[in-house]
Amino acid sequence: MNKTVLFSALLAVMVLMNTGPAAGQTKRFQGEWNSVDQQGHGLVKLQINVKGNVVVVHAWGACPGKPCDLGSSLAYDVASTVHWWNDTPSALLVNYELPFARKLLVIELQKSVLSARTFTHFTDDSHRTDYMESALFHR
Amino acid sequence: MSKAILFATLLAALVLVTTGRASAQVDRFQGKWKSVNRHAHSLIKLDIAVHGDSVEVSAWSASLEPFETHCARFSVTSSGDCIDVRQSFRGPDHLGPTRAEIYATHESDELAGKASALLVGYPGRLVILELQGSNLAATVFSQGRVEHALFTH
Repeated sequence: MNKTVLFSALLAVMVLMNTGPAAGQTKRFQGEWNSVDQQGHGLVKLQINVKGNVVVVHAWGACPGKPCDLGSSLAYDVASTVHWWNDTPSALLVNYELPFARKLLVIELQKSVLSARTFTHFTDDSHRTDYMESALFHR
Repeated sequence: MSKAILFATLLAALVLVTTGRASAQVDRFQGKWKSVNRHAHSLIKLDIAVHGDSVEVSAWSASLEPFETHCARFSVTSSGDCIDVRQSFRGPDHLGPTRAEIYATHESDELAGKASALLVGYPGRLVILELQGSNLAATVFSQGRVEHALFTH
């Protein structure tokens, strides 16, 4: 896919989500979340901070020795159609622009467990394959 | 048979087997898919075309905007009021075809062979497609909502 088109779509979706009905109740995502699988190869920790309508997600990936800091990025909250009458956000989209890749995090809350899917799209010339990984997190 | 010939034959066979399996994996996304949920609010139909390492996705979304409002036959009272107002909806909106990003399970995987998810962007919509057995699971982000839908052939 043309990267510009996908990025534009992503941006448009995020802007629409930010103005969606879910703005008020993102507190449920607040806190430090650790991967259920500490031996996992993907994300190992998420720190989600909610201040008003602003949600910032700090992520750490698995690296030898200690977790790699992927940095912080603004999240965009989404209300599920299943729960729209409750105005309860159940998903966050977070985009990380790293020097070598774009990482899109899709974070969903299922009761007390957080599930995250990470889509890594390499933007360097390493010819590595784009990949997706899933992980579960608890507080 | 010399060792060199035997090795070359084995190598060729291995390449053929690997290539065959690789195509088969991404090919599992190929085809026409219909939503299992007849009352889906978002996507109702998908048509996925696989050309080697390139995947194009056409999608049809349910049109939620009433196209026309009219009074059903024989439902106008003597005072001119309508007791049975009907709404017509347009047919599904066609999105695409749009080229998808293919995601494998690991960065060292051969893309076509280990394709586990597709990411497709339409104006105002982001769609994630993943295989679940013989079904296709879609997560659709649009207009402040996320919808999970299941598709079958």
